[in-house]
This record gives sequence, structure tokens and C-alpha cells, in this order.
Amino acid sequence: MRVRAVQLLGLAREHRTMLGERLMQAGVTFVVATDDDALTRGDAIDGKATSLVAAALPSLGGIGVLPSVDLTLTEPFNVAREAATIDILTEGRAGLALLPPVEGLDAATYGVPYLDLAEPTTLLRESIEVLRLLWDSWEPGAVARDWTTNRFVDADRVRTIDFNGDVLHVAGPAATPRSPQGVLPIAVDLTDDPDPAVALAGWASSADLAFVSAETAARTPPGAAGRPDALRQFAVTRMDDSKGDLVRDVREAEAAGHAIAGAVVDVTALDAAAVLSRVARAGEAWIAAVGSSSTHAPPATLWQRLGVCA
Amino acid sequence: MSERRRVHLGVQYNAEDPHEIWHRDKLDEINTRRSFERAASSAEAALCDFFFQAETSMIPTGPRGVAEPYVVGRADNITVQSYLAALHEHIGFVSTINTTNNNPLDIARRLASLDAAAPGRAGWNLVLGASPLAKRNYRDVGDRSAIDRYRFGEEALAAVRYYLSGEARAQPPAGEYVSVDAPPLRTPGPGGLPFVFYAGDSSRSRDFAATNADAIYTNAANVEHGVPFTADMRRRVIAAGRDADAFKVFARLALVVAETDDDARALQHDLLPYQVHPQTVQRVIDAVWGDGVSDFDPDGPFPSFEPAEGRQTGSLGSLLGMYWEGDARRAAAYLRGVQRGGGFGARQAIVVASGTDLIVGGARSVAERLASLVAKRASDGFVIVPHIAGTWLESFAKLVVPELQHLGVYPSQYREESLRERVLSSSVE
Repeated sequence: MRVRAVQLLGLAREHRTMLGERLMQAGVTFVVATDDDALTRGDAIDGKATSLVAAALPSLGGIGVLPSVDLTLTEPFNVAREAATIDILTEGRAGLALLPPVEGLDAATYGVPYLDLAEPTTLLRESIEVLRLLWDSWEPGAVARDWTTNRFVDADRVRTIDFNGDVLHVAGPAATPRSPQGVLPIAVDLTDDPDPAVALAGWASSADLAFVSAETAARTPPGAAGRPDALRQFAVTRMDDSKGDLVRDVREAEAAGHAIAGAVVDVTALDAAAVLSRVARAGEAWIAAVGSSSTHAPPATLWQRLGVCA
Repeated sequence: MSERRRVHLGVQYNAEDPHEIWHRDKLDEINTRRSFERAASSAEAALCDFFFQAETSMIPTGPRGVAEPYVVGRADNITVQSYLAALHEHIGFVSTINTTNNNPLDIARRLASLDAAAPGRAGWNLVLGASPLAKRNYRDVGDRSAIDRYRFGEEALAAVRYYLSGEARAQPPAGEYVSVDAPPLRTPGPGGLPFVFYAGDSSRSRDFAATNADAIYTNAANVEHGVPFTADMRRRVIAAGRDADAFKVFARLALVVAETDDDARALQHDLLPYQVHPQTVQRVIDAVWGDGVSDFDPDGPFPSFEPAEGRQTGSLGSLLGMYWEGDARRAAAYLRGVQRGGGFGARQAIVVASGTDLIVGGARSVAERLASLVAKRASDGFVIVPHIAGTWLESFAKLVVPELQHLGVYPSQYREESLRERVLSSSVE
């Protein structure tokens, strides 16, 4: 399910622990929590998806979470810290959904002082690399807590990353000790991107998976601009009051030549009252068409759940 | 006791303090979901005003890597607290965010989210800078060595305040360093600037706090430093044109608590071997007296000879307390003074010397001591640091809180109020 982060917190407050149960029943195993599209509309901005998702976690049970993050206006060092923390809180069910750079954004008007914004796609590509290196900078067992040798931490297992890119220079190690998944799944959320092939062939190509509008996928051939098929693609179907058919969308995207790894039901346009019933209906149709493994509990980590090997 | 005054309490998780106990027998988990939940539940059971978490902007690494003996590494404070806020209805949440390595938009968005998770219960511990070395972990913002960091912090605060102004639509700030020409946030919570703590001690820091913050966080939880400090802050708050009662002083404090004084002393005695490793004692001895002292009893007296003339201790990562690094003879005299004053062994003296005031006592004595420090205006409240990690707070809630209530200086339940109203309140009703 793809949902606005503020919307998710509202759902969590309304349904409490029933939210996770009902999503699970509808076949939802992870939630992409987006920021509002405020920046693109030049409108005001909401709170931060990472913390809003954290506040929703007690209601989500075993559902995985991928909060969205805009790396052009944040620090990769802090994003690594935030995402690792959600992975700690979910015990291994967190990832990140990166947003594409906003066209023509003048960061200076937001009081954001970075000097590296001239090349936003280079910044994003390097940020992905930095995130992975930071998450891996504490090896398993680094927090040794070995009293006989007076070591809380084993210095041999905590490394600086000394990343020196064209725009980013990050020394590390990460602020947060290694989380359960260590290196987290990185998705790019291109749902609102009218031409995702460009991003997928460029800065987004080093991500692990991509969320792409099913409608867009159905009318654009894959691979035209490079190697988008190297990423696992999830087709995002927008729900509004009447429309939205996951099965049809995925079949149309596949007919256009895309290898689709899964379907994401997007409820960002729905009123809170309509969300769960629409997700349940979509899930029912999906399970009827594709079958379901819901007799088993979903896999423990988000990596496994997304069908990607870490 | 001259006068009864309400005692305010906050609790810190993971102080990265050199004397924080991490031994597996005394601390089963650290930086895990369950450990956060347990600490926050205990803090709420103790009716604390707030749960406090600091920020990590860098992991200090030397030539041989990360310093191994001490607790290092933290989860992200705002993220953890947003999660905990969903589980707790009453306690407030305070996170440190520095204005050097965080841009004002991101600070505002994080605070807005915490405020949405804990409506009216969010607090920001504003610090101006992290270690200069933290710069190595952050994006290029140009050379800031020439800027006035107090002014920069004030402008960053103005930008955050503007972003959180919500419907009030304040005038966008246009400063020397920070200007905003964008709308305020659509805050998902009540909006407005959260309760602002400021941590700092210099004269300019005190003025910054007096002008801009609701409370200051200081190291001194004793009469000697606290009384003049609190009086000085009141003067500065009044000089800034504000009501002195609308500003609070919080002091950092460590506690060892048991039912009786004897039990508490015995508990501290039992804890010391888990708290200060013999190698750590040796490290202090080597730094102060030189490498020649071997076969040293970690619970015995410090060496009786003077360190060599002109010897420097070097940095001990605040093992000695921030004021005693440097001249070795001065450090030796200080350590011996601590040892004589309390009749301590070296290990215990090192804990006491570290700069965080430590109170060891039975429930009644600790309550009276806290009440007395507040009555004498050495502080308005305390942020208790987790020297004695794990479950220590549970005994505090069970033993000390009823005594504080009995003294009439502590509330008996939470009220429906914002963190600002709670911390600034003088009433226990």
C-alpha cells in the first residue's frame, strides 16, 4: 500500500492494532509512506515521513515500512540514522523509498544552505552509495560488550567509510549501531514521475527496487533508456473512489514488456474512511487472480518480503 | 528546608557517558525496541516531565579506531520518540538537535512530526554545534569558521519558529545567514514552536538561553555551582525582558537509590566493579601519574607521589570531568581531594570526579536532597542520566517518587497539559 505519511498516522490512530491485521488480511505486506507532493506543487510541506511512520508502528503489527525521503533537502548521515532506527523498531522490516529530485527547486528559498545542489542526480546517486556504506559500517557483533577485554565496542568491526564522491564527502562510521537488516532495501518511488525510464537508467539504477505508476508502465516500453529491468519493479495502481484495478494494471504493464514483481495499491487520493474497504476489495481481487500464500505468515525481513536478496 | 518548591524531573536514555554501565549482567539490552519501551514506561511511571534523548553526529575515532571501553552509538532520537509517543499518553519527549549539521527545514519537519505524534508534548534541546569533527559526516555548506555561531543559531531558530508558525503565517525570516522565502509547514500536529531547552554554559550561551529558550540544561546539580548559576539565569531572563518564572534550570544528575542509605551504599559498592573496569582506572593513573605505576589496586588510594612537573594529562574523553584535563598535578590534587572527601577507593573516586553530580542514598534521603536543591534554588529540576542503566529507574519510581510526593514537591498524577505548561508549572496539584 502507498499512503501519505500523515494519512497513515491518522489510520493508525483510528484503527489501532486492527490496522495491521486488516492490511495483512488484504494481502498487504509493506507500506510505502510518502511525503505529500508539496514541493512539486510549491505548497507547504508536511512533517517527516520517517517519524510519522515511527508513530504509526504500534498499529502496524508485522507490516513492513518504507518511509519516503527527499535526499536533496536532508543529510544522508542523518537519513541513515533515521532508517536504521526504524529497522531497529520494526526488528528488520524497514526500507527507504527515495523521491526523485524536484525540477527547478530553489533550495535556497527554504533556508537550506547546501552547496552541492547544482547536480541533484549526482547527489542522489552518491547518497545511495553513502547510505549503504554507513549501514554497513558497523559489522555484526560490533557492539561486543565484552567485559573481560573492557570492550563495549569492538573497534575492528566499526569502520570509517571515507566516501569521497564528486559532491558528497562523508567519513562515518554511522551514528547508529547495525540494525537487524544491516543494509536496508532502497526503493525509488517514481509513482509521480511522468518518465521513469530516465531516472531508472540514471541515478535510480543503483536502487534495489522501483515503484512505478502502472498506468505509466503500460504505455512506456521497458529498457528503452538503459537497464531498468535490473531493478525489481512494483506497479503502483492509484485508487480513487471508483477506479483502480491492480490485476488489469499489472497485466497491461506486463503486456508492454515490463517484468512486474508485485502490485502496490495507492490510496493517497482517498479519504480516510474509504481506505481500508478499498484496500480490502483490491486485495481480494488480487488474491483471486494471482493466488496467495497467506496461509503462511509473511517472511520476517523486508528484504525477504520484497523478494530481493540482500 | 526554607520553602517547598516543585521538583521537575526528566530522564535520559543512552548518555554515552564514560560511567554508563553496559555489563551484560546489569544491562540486558541497549538500543533495542524493548529497551526504549521499558525506559519510557518507567519514566512515565515515575511521572517524569519528559524523556530525553541526545543526538549523535559522529562516532569519535582515533588512530586505533573507535574507543572501545564506553557506550557509543545511538538510535535517532526523534524517530524513537515518535514511536514511544504513540505508546504513552502523558510523558513529554525532548530530543537534542544541533543547528550546525541540521538545516532549519529538516529540524522543523522533525519537530512537527514529533509534535504530531505527541501533541503538545514535544521538546527541542537546541545546541549550537556538535564537535567540529562532525563536519566530516555532513554536506558542504561552505566555510562557517568565520560566522558568529550564536547569531547563526538564533537565525536557525527563527527559521524553525517560522516553519512551525502554522496558520499564524508569521513574516518569513530574512537574516544574515538564514533566509526563508517559502510557506510555513502544514503542521500535522498542533503546531507552534515546541518547548525549547538549550544546553550550554558560557556567558553568551546563558544569554542565548535567557533570550530564546524556555529552559537551560546544565551540568551542576549542587548548591555550590547551582545557586549562583540559577540566580544568574534569573537575572539574565529578566534582563531579556521576560518573566523569570517562565524559565527553568535543569541539572544533569546521576543517582544510586535503594530503600535505605546503607542499602544504597551497598548497591553502589556492588555496582562499581561493573561500572569501572580496572583498565579504565589504570588509564587514568597512567594519564595523570605517568606509565610507571603498576600493580595498582583499583579500589585503593591514588599514588602518593606528585606527577612530574609540567606533565599534561591529554584528553581522557571526559573520564576526569571536563574541568580537570590538562595539568597533571592539578588533576592529581583534584582526584586525591575527591578520594579524601568521601573516603573512596580510586574506582569510586573516578566516578564521582567525572563531572556529573552523583547522589547515593535511601529513598527518603534522595527525595530530601532533591527537594532541598530545588528549595535552595540550585536548580528547578534534574535530568537523570543512566549511569546505572537498565532497570534503575523502576526502583526510583517505586521508592523515591512516593517520598517526593510525601514532601509535597512532586505531583501525584499527570495533568492534561502541554509540556511547556507542565515544565513551567510550580504547582503540584
